[in-house]
Amino acid sequence: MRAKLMGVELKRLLMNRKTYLAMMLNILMTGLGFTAYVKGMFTAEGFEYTSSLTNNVIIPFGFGGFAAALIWGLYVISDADRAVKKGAEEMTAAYTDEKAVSHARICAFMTVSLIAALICMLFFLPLCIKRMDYLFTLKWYILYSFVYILPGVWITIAVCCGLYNISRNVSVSLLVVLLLTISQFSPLSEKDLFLRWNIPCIFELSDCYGSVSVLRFLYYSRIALFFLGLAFYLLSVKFIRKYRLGAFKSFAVNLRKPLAFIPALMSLCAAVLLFVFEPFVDHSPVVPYDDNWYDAPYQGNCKNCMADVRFNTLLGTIKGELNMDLTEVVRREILFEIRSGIKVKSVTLDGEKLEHSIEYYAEDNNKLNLGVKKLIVKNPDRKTGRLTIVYGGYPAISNSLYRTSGYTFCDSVGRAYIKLDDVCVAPQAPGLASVKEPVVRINVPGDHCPSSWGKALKKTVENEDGSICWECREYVPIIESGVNNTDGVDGVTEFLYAKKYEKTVRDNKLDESIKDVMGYCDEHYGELKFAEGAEGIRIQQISNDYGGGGAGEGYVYMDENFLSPQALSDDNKGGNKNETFMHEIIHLYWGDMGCAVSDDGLWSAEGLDVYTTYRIVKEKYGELYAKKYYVDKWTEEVKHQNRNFYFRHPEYIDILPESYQAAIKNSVGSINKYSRMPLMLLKAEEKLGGEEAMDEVLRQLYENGSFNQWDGSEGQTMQDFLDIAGLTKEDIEIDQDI
Amino acid sequence: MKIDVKNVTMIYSSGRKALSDVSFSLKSPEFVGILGPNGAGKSTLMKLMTAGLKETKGEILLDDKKLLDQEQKLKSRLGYLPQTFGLFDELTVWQFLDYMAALKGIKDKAEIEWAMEQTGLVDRRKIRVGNLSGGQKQRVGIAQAIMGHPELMILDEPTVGLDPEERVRFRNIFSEMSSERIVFLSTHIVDDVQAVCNRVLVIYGGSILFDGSPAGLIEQTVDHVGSYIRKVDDILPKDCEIVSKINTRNGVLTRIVAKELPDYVDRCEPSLEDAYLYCIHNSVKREDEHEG
Repeated sequence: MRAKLMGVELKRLLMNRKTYLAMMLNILMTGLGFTAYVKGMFTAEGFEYTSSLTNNVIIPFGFGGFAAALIWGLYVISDADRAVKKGAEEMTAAYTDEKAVSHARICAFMTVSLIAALICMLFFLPLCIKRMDYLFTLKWYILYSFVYILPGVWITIAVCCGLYNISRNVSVSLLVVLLLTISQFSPLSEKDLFLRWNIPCIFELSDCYGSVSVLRFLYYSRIALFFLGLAFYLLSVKFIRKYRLGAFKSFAVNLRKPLAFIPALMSLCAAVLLFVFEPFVDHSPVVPYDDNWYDAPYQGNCKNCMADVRFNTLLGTIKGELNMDLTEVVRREILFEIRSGIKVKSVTLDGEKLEHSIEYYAEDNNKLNLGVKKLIVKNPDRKTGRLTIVYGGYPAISNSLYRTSGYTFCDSVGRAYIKLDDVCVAPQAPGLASVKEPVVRINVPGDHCPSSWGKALKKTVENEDGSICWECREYVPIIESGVNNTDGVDGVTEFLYAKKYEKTVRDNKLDESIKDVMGYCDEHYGELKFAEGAEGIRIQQISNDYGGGGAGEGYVYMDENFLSPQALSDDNKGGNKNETFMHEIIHLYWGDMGCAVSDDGLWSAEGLDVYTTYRIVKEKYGELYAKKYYVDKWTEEVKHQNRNFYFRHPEYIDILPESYQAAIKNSVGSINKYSRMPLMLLKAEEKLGGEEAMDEVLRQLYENGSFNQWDGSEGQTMQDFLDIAGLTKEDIEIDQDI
Repeated sequence: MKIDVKNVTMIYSSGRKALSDVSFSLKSPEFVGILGPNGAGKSTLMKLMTAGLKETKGEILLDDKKLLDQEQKLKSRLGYLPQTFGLFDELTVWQFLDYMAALKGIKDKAEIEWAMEQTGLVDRRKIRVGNLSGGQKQRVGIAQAIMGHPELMILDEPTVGLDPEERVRFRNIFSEMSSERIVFLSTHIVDDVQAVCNRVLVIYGGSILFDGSPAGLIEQTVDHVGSYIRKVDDILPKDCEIVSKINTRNGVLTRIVAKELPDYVDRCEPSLEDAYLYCIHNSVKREDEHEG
């Protein structure tokens, strides 16, 4: 009968025009999420979202889902109130339990909102396919749009229904639900998905690898919150008015049937269990970082250290076994470091089980904040033996990182991408001196191309399950492994990128760009600094989950955004995709030499990059081409800037609204970086007497530059450049020429 | 089916006493009409009998067991038309009845068809409830109440808003249905009760004043109903209730009920309306004397 009741309640909703209005609003609000204005709302925090998935799915569906939650919540309250106010309830209550009607109503609303979500997903599917083009994956579209648009709505429906059941008052219900909604914008809940009950956090996600760790967390948190909302609703049903009594007297009447509370309690238990045992975040206390790193005391020696690690890419878990021969052990307790979330199944010494425990790293604030825990193995006073540790689990993100950045930059195990930090791969023993370098065997899916610290691993065995075992010999491996294409640019340089970019790379000859840039820069400025001494250079595209770019010894990594359609179409950086990509590769030189960025944007690596790109294309395609697509464009931009009223009268900017001020400042900064500075460099070139002299100045500037842009050095300034060139600021002033 | 209302008193949370020590029994088959002025406690009594309210004192038994302990049993056997009710305007007549059928646990669609036939709604089946007239909405209300041939039908002023022809038709339908079930009907229209009810309850001020057959109620009024031609300056006889006034050439033909009729008043044969008014009149008088 209940199913029948739900059926007719659903039919009743589908006959109501308001239902279709709500559906249309749902679609409309999602559509608004595609507009620049809404995107601006989510980028105000300083993030620049460039992944196609974020732009075309996460933000629109996140916004649409939030709006839909409020729309359906409002509707469910008004519908429940209508039945009471119009007197339909008296008639319906005579025939059936009021609770059954409430259950039927909530199920019907959830079904209708599900239909609306499906329509919304289908409605925007063609648009997303068109906009995301080769970056579109149906699986990710469905999984992300669904989790962003539906669970929040269901939780809100449950909460709204519950609030109305308790208060029997539209105003009170609305007020409470709005207060609860607004509370999600507080700093406390800004990053915490478990406090964001109808607004999921907006993440910058991977187009190519799916960001499965984030996806799992999103689903998990939504399910946990849904159970909580459901428990609240099921409890609220006990407040439904009985015999025209008040809320609490009605509750007291319902208390006479304690068994009826079981579903509410079960839901509450499910929510509590999901909260308590969630595997995603390490719950160690957040403490201030300090300068003191704990040095584990010497505990003995070890040799023949070997770890074998396997992955469950569906669940995101790892399973491993670490073996080592202990020698000269001097302590009764052996300390290992292990990632929070990884459990130890057994520890044996020559087959004999040893006691062990996992504790917070109280001695070291920094490790505590990094989500590293202590594994203490009790040594039965033995000096030697074969130690085996079997471990596994879901690597947790550190609590401090979660509190500051949300669920980002976490370790991740997925079908298309695996990223694991040192203590994730295998327990580390800081107090044991390894006589010989350890061997770590990583078994990744057959189509993966793994690396540790950017270095290629040695392929060993193809396993029966299709995975391939790769071997690395690192004390502290950091694994990046994805489904990538591998192009050997030349004998020295290797370029790894996601399969999705295959066509873009081929069509735009991006691999050639690397060759062109490296050939030019090596010849004119000197060898790539961080690659000095390395056997080769591996340029690897990594998942957006980890953001940005960086370099190690012979290793360059850059996130997906460097190859994104927006990045490759940025005409500030080059005349076409090939040249824009050249610009990014040139950053390996000018970005990494520690170029100081001036406040006015008149001195930055960007300007040096654009100038270098111009020089490369001039050499490659001739002066006419370079003049047309670079110099003329810069000149036009600067002319345009000089004509701008606010550029000429910056004193008036301050009276504009903040958003206008920011837009003008951004535009000024952009033109300074990408047009004015290259023109100034061109002027310097002219003053110096030609390209050869200019190259000599730039070579010296590059040589003086720091190896690492993150080492805290200030970097080369405009004054450094002028000093080397023997010029003054006035010498390179361009406004009078223009 | 049997319902026993035993010494039921109902006091609302506002402190208003709606029923006072009310007792009566209903046994199937029976057609019981309940008469009483506005605020007498009819609707409260009906809500108590549908488990919509909980009595302050006393108890209501359904087949000798507490009604509130067997709400599901009651709900599955009930047809109820409240005095005021709202319908879901967005649904068509058929959809609304289908919705109510689901609530009542009726699986057979023929029941919906039958109820529509009985209430003359067959040609209105696809019309949205919101587009119906007041009388048509009342018919939809009646249709949902009779649907499923419930064992107990509680109808609170079901013929309000219906034209005389429809009123007669419906009271005949209720009468037919009462041959196999309890029909408990509240109305202001005394003629309806006289025409179809085999038992009448008169309620006033929360108390049952009379419980018996309509003929029994009329019997009590013999020699207490009369008429006379009243001139303009004539004083109204003491302690009487005017039933009707008709203007004639000789004066106003006035029909009254009173405990003691003056000599100049001609005795008349009482109707149920006279009897009802006499019953209420006596009660008011007793109250006044009590207060005095």
